[in-house]
Amino acid sequence: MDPYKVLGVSRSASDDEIKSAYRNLAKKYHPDKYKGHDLEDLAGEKIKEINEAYDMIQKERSMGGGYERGAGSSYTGSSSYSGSGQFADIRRAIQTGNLSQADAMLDAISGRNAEWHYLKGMVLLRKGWYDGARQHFATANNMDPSNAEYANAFSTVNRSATGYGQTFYGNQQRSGSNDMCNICGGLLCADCCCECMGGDCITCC
Amino acid sequence: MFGYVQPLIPELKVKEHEAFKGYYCGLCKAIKENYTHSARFMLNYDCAVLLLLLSSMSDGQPVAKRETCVAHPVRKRTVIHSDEAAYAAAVNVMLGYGKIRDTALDDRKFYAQALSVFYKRVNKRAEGKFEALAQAFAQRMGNLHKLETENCADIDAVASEFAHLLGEVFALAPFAFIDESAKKALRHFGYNLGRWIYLADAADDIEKDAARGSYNVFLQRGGNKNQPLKAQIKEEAQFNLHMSLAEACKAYELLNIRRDKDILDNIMYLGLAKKTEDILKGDTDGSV
Repeated sequence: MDPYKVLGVSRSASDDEIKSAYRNLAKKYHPDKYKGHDLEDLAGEKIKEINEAYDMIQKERSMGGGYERGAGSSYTGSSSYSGSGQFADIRRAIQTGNLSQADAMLDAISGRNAEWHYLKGMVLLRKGWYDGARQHFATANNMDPSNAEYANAFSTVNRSATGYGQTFYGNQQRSGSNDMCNICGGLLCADCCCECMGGDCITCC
Repeated sequence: MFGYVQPLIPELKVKEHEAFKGYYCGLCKAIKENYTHSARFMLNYDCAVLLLLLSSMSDGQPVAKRETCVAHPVRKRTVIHSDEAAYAAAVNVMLGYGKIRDTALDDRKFYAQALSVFYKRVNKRAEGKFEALAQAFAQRMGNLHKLETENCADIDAVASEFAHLLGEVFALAPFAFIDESAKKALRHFGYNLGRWIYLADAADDIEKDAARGSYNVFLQRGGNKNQPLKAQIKEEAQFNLHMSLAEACKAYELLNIRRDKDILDNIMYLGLAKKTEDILKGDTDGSV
């Protein structure tokens, strides 16, 4: 393995260039982006490869391990929440990737509460049925607006779609424009994230 | 239904544009060599992109030559010859035949029936070469046709048939450089690209289909009837198209691309995004 090739930099690249190439790649393959995704293991391998390459270059240039890299090691799964009785098995089935079993178990349940819709949405999302997934997340969110898990699933699926649109519009028309709307929008987003985690950075909304 | 997957040409370097056209010509020549002259009529950009992607992952070296052809008899053009062209040509023939047969079954127009009979033998030859692929085509195209005649209103169900078909097209490519993990990423890539193609085509054709009374999955869904059709479906179409592309990009980023990465990046991040924007705005000039 040529570590420079892995990071996409030339041999003569400066330490800063290497660091920034490493950071960009770590962001690109960040475990959060592929969490619970079919391709999670492949992304994990990439991260490992990038980490190894970065370590090799560090060693080669013998700079010592001063720079702490975040991406590979800081990630721990956050699926500690376990649902009530009948849903716990379904959650397990989804986690192990046994989608058809999870789907069959869901269809056998007659009482359809918010958690049912959330889990149905998870199954559809993994199956690649994004339209249905979004609808079920929306229903779960409407039935139980206080549940952070449902709200998060709904906003994540919407965010991944708009995220793609923005890469294009951002590049083409509004590169580098930091107008007030963007700043306010960013603050509101930060506030929403804060609230999800139990805090609050703008108290009035 | 085809020809939606293309680069955003103004953002390509001249040499990249030349290379892209070279793959397109290479595919056309491969169709001629493996099938017939007349099968070149089915040539489409989506399969040129398939060829470009597979070649870019290969460890072999494609060869660029200056050649003339029937369509361009005087000025020589760059033609890129690569080992993956035969596979892309077979996919092109099968997709083209599927489309012609679909029209023949739906419209019962004379020319469509005649074409379908004419290309049947060409299609048989392609099927003989790649049997697993032929099976996927028969199964998925059959399911899709059934759902369409039943006027299925479930976006996911209809789109997933074509999506799975493209997933197989990418995953079944018989090349040594595609190992198990590359296969997995390619299947995910193909699924989402196929989902995008099917829904992009449906969103693009909605006015035409409404006028002709043809099936269109977006027409099966209720909307505010006072608005123009494109506006009624905009939010739904936008979410589904962008979501498919976002997922396709996730898989694309995991592929081991050895060359022509700038062209592929252009297609994935600019070409497809521009096409989506045009379709949602109703700006396309219609596609073949």
